[in-house]
Amino acid sequence: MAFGKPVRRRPDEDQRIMPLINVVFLLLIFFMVAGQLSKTDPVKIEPPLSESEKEPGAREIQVLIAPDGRLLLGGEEIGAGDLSARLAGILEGQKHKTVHVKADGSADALDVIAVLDRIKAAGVEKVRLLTSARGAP
Amino acid sequence: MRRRAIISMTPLIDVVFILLVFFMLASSFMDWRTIELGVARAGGSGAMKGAMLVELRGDELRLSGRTVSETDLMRTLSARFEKDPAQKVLLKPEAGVPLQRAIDLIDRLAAAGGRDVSFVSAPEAR
Repeated sequence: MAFGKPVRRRPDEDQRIMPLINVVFLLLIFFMVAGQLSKTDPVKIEPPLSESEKEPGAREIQVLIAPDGRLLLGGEEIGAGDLSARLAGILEGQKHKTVHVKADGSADALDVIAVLDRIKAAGVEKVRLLTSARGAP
Repeated sequence: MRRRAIISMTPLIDVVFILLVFFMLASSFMDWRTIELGVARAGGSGAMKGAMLVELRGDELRLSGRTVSETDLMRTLSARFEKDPAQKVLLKPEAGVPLQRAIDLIDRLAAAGGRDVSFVSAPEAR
């Protein structure tokens, strides 16, 4: 029979790619569950490594400090002088006055301290510096 | 009896592959940690009282104004922390010191038992 063959081959092909689909599904589920989808930062920031064990909670307010000292709040660049006023406005009426600072590891420590000081001046109770966990040696 | 596929597999695989690629590119596996930081105001008297000042220079460390090696610093401070776990330590980096170095020092102070480590803001930064 000339046309019997292709009809019978289709389920065979399906059977052959089944393991592939299984693996792809597993990978898909792994990436969906294990990875976190987060907004990418407008500037590239390599956080400093630390041995801290504390994990960050919800990061509602986040101040970014770029390697060259530029500040970003909520995705847009902001001058150092405006930071306190802007933060105070955002924090008004919020219960947990916690601000996370994501600074680049190569940023000048004094710049970061100046920013921390400004954040404190805005009435923030807790300032947390985000770091990335140092891999096990 | 062979199970018959009701829909063709190819579009399904296409979609799954696209989803897979999306999740691979979009998800991050960064292991975030936090350090809670205090900032003491230079010139203010209350917070500075009884605290030990560690200055972080370009290539040296200073403890209360004296240049010390890192092992000496850790030894001195460990002894202090043992006597008084609430001993305050103030960290003052010099201009140009990268944040990573300051964090490394905070890590080591925490490992030595320091619980109250904070930065000092330079008065001219305000």
